[in-house]
Amino acid sequence: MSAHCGQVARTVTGKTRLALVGSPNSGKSTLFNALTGLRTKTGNYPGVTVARYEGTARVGGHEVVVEDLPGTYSLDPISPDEQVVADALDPDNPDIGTPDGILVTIDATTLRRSLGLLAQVMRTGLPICVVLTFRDELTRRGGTLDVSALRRALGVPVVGVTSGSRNDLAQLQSMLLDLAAWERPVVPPPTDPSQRRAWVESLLQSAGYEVPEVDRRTRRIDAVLLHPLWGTLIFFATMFAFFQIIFTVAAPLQDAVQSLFDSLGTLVTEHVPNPLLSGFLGSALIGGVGGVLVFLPQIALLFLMISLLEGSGYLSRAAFLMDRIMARAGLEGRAFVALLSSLACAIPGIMATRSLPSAKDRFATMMGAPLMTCSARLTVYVLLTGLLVSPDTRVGPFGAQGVVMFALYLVGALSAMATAWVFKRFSSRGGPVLPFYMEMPSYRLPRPRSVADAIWSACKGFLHKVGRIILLVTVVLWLLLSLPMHSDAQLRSAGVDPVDRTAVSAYAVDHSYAADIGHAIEPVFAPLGFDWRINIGVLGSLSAREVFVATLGQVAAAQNPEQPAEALTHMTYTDGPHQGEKLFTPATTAALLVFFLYALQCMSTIGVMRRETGSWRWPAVAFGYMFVLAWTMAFLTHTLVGLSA
Amino acid sequence: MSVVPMHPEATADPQTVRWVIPAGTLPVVGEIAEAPDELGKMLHSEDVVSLAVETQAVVIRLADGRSWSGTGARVRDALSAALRHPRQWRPAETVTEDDMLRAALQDVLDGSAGDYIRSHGGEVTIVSAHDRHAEVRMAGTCTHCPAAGFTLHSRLESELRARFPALVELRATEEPGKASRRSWLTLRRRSA
Amino acid sequence: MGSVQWDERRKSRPSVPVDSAPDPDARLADLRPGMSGQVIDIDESVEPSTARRLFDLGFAPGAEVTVLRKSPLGDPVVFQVVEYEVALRKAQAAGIHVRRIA
Repeated sequence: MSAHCGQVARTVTGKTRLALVGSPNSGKSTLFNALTGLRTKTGNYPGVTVARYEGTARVGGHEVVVEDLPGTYSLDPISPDEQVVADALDPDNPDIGTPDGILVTIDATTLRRSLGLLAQVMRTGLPICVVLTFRDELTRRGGTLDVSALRRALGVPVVGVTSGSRNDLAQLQSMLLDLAAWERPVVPPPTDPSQRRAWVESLLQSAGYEVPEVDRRTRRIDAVLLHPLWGTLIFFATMFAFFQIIFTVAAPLQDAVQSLFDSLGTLVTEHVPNPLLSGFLGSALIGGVGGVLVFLPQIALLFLMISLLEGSGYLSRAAFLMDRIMARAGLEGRAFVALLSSLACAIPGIMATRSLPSAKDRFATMMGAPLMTCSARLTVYVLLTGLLVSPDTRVGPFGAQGVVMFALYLVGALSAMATAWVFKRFSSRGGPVLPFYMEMPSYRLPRPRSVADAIWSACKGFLHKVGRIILLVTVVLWLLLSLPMHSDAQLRSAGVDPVDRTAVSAYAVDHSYAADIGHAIEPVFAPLGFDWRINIGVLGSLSAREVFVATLGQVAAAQNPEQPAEALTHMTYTDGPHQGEKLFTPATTAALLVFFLYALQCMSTIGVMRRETGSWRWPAVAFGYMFVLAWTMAFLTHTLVGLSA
Repeated sequence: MSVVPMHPEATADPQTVRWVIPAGTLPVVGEIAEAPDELGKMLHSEDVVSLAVETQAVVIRLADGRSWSGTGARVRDALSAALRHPRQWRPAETVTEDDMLRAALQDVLDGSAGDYIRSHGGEVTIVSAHDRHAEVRMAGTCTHCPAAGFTLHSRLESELRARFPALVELRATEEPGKASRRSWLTLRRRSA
Repeated sequence: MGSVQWDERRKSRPSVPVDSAPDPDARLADLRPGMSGQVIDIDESVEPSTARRLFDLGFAPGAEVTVLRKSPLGDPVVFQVVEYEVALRKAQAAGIHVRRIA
């Protein structure tokens, strides 16, 4: 046995590297968090939409690097996520460093199935330690398992870990330092399927594994939660509450963050004499930081609820109920939560795709999610719908404004599903269609520690990776909209009273670099009826869609830039063939609405896509396809409404 | 055709591996002189030095210079195939049913039940194994407690019956010196 | 003590050979909730990678599968197999040949 127990290979850093392998729901991530605490970093595997989680475990003054590989049922990969696991454990694969040892998490209640995966992992020849989870649940359900007999039969170390037990964890930690001491199996498990089955049977027999009786508690809960009537009602109630919390509970928190940074900005503006510097500090920098932090309440709440749903086992049930509907978009039930979250904001929506096991589904959902009507679009819709139809117009018994709003939400949702379908088709080219299977785990009480870890890592990842992008874009846009600066003399010679702040800001925007860009891109948007001032608004909305309203307000020299409707109705084209004509005709307003429905006017979304896919390629594709789609649909709308008017 | 469940377990000797199999798979115990097919060939070649059957295991010793990491898979395939022909396994010495019973009993006492008794300061020895009847002598602290005696006896008997289904009865006597009496709850069962 | 269990399990395994099954063409998707079946094999039309995955999930020849419940919309379906519960779509369940057992 000692013959192949050679020196444990060390990576360049000299630290021992361990990989965590296990099937979904086997307690792998809980173990990862318990071992590494908050010393984690996330990244992406090269070339795939698969997040990479790495952390450091400190054991007796030494550091051990632990990598949490994606959950898998088999080392025969059928998805990019599983390919990552297979590659990581393949010593011949140069792309991902092979670990020095492997921790395999095995759910004691599904031992029979899990031993198949373990057999495959054991064939890699790497040092292996089995971490047995959910033994307490096995006992509760009346099952038995002799851990020392299992250890003897497997020929590798087996450590039982009850989540939350410090003793168990300490025992495992003490083993992490000396991989060379881990027992190796005397003969690796067979590969032949029937021999493998015989091996599993023999192990279970030796370990005195008693089949856990049916989990009555889970069956009883499922009888209600998956009931055709009650289950459906509870599902809609849960999803309604879910949406309400992201949408309405987060809103006051977000307003609080926003107003805090607004007042900070005002404070700075008032106390810094140089107008350029004060504007930069107050609006660009502090405003930018506020623009990043404003997303945190939503993200924290979303991950609070997702980890509660996932930890309790309900997420699988919700997905089970929704699967048939999502299948029409080529997706699976679990994508529903991501699309629902996108109704509040695409940022948490795209982050929610992490709960999808298949990279292809994740990718397709991410591409569709930005089309769901987010709350930022809502402010734009309210403004433009007000311009388009008067509040008194009715369609049958309904107010026309409400009908238009409903139509916008509906078209957004349908377009999101259609897009996901198209991308799923494209991304599946060449490969076989993945089979759908979803484990229905026993109901379990979510552990507060796991929930807190999930929220923390989501917020941290967002601030770290996406925050910089949002901040940068905000600063650049502020500079474009504010520069060049104009002296009082210049303002007076242009007929603007330097004391009239509204007039000054309107003049500054009208003569900014952004205005130059607005003029320059006029030919592109002219077929949609947009003039250069709308273009400035569209450009400004890149930092966040709702900024469109304020920017347009500034351009229109509205007294209150947040409510520019009155000023906008009187705007006319300043030049070109339509000079003097009304700018916001029904055709232009409708085209603008449709443009906002489809365009990826949100750098934060692009940033989060960059983070989740690990490359700029897919955000670029998304921006490109959505722009083309937005332009085309807006053009069609402009033409059709223009004809019918 | 279904494959006989088995798995390898390491022993103190790196050349020797215990292949655990279900009790009752083979009708023999002890050293094996002839085994079917490929396993038989390996036994006569220079790969396998010795082959011995226990009640719940086949113990295989490889020749020096052969390693389990190299030869293990071949041995497994050969053993798996050989277990399908239990009648073709020939012991080195004639094995009687009494030998089978004694081996099964020894296996029980070497296993977890024996460990349990020893961990409580007790001691069990085989008195006789004859004609489907077996007798053990229990000594040590635990025999004074009737409940422990009953628990131990029934555990030993059920483990023995699992390995030797033809068992008629297992008698347990207390240590000599005191009045030797039969355990007060010996279940008389005739296997079907 | 485990040995007793083992022997009983082996005995309880139906020894009926495949060719005498009443309906050799029964598929897992045909079973109604509450029914059980024993997996015979995976249909040849199923992609090899999918067949392999079904095997790894526990839908191996000889495994006993019980239909637990259907989704309110009829698809997917929850099955109990090797001591755990897993949902499959009918498309996947239709690729698994089973022999009905009481």
